[in-house]
Amino acid sequence: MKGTSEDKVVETDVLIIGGGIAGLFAGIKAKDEAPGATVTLVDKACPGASGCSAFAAGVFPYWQPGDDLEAYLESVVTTNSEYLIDQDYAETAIRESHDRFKDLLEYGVDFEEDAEGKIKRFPIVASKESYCSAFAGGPHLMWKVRTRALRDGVQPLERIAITDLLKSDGRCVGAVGFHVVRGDPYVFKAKATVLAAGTLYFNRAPIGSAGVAGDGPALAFRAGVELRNMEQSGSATIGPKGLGSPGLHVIFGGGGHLVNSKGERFMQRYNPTLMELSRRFDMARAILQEWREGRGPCYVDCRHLPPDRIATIRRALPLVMRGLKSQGLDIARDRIEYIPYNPSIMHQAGARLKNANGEVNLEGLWVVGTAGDFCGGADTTAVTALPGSSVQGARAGRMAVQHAAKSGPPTINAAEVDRLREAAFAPLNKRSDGLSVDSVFHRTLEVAFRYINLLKSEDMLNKAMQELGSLKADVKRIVAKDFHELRKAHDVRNMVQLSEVIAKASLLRTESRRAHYRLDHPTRDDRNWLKWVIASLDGDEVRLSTENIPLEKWRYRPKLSG
Amino acid sequence: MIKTIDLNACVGCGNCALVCPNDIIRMDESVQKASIVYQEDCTACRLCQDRCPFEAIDVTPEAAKKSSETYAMSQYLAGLGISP
Repeated sequence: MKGTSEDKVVETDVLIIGGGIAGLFAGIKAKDEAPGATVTLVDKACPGASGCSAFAAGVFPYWQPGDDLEAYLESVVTTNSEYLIDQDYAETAIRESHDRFKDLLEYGVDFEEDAEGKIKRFPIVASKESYCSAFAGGPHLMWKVRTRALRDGVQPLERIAITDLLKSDGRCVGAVGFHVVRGDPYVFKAKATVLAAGTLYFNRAPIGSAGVAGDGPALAFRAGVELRNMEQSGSATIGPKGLGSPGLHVIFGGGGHLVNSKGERFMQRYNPTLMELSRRFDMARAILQEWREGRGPCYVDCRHLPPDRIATIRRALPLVMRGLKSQGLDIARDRIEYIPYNPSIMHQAGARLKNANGEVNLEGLWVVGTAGDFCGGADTTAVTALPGSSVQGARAGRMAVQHAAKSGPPTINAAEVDRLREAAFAPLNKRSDGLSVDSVFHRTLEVAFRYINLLKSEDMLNKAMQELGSLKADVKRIVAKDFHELRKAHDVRNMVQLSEVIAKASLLRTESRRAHYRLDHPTRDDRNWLKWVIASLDGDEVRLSTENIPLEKWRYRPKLSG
Repeated sequence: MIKTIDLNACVGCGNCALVCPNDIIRMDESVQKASIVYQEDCTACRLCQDRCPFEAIDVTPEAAKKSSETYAMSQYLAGLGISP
């Protein structure tokens, strides 16, 4: 695999890394802005079917004129994000979620209508002011968006894993990677790069998908981009035991209950105001607390729901329904055991975004979707997940192609390409002290599940740091048997790299806020911790710093008691 | 995880291999049908089933043991010192 003559070189005006909703919207809007520009979208699986987007739980939250924007913004900032979110971004995303909803209608996404043909709206978990509409499942929505992107001339390159971004003169000029089936080395030379490679879910099966191994934040981190809020780990959601597909909004928004082994709606104990419309990680934490206090297992109970609500649930969650059926369960007839799903940093952690365009501290690069730290921003509202990602992607696509129009061809450093190619293919080299990718992967999962999840403590985090020290060395010893395993090896590399940042940030933040919960510091400390934790890479070392959240620039700030 | 592909029902459309997020399925060019190549990495996401026009794919409920949510739950409890 040595020698640039073997590289497949792709030159493009705009390179988009990742074909989820953020990346696909970036492509669509880039082509809309500049139809003559070359827009190449690369994905390590299939654009429109990889990452988290295809497993979206059947609802799209959006604001529309007539909804109370101020109340929405206030709840997003205060009770949902607990002041961590950039309030300018939050307002932009709330407003523009409506435009993206209209785009989805134009792309042919099938939203559920009432008898008069009007699109139905439902309340959504986490916020009393947010509403959503239900569509016919994640796979359907994403295929429509993909189809539109391809129709508009976005050029997809499937099954190519990007292993590192390329820099030159302190700017991002593209990326390197390899084909996960054929093994061809790839070099992408781009005037502008949009990184939409998703977040980190500690599983090969995050909400049903695979390979959401932290590529987004890890690629950015290794290229010198700051990460922020990495202590926001913790189960991203809750879901049926034995399956990989959650789908809360349409279930709880539709009136489903969450009960413990005694049949009590236990959210009364943790959040009596929001109950089953609480933030997902709050419900995940509550389930674990119920278990700790001997009242587990916990269940979703929809047996009381009217037939039309059940029908909405069935239609919005086709993959969940298949899974339940294979277990002999039916949502209308049975209580379904629900457990916290895997830890994820999707709760507002990732590359530090400067604004809704996805700008970061690296020229030539835009980071959008869950790769950046806005996207979990306020759980399950218009600023996060599908709508947040599409707002950011749409903006970045236009910015990137405008930037490309003003730029000459990028200069590539051949020695840098050689170095990164060596790093990409290194796990294929045999070694006497080699380790299997699965053995390192499973140990990483164990550390993540046990120590950097919903309930953390100094002891647990110190254990995590110890384990991660040896895992960092073990990653270098992975030997991959083929290109499929090589892709997995890079997944593990990214997971371990980010796990260290999560553990360190979690140790630093000695309070609890949002998805970050310390058993030894269980309360929120607005006096000392209205701060962001920022991480950067210095050689091989993770460096942390804190910054005051600039609340003086914005509308909302907590009242500090005297 | 993915159990079997019914080769009588499979018409070789390639949808499953196209969409699989984890590169589990590839097309076997010699018989022009889908083939399970990396079964142990399957996460039972069911995208293949969703895209198969002929219901040719059988997926069992549990994903690979060590990366399933059930295993994760047992580890959460272990980390907290609770046995389920």
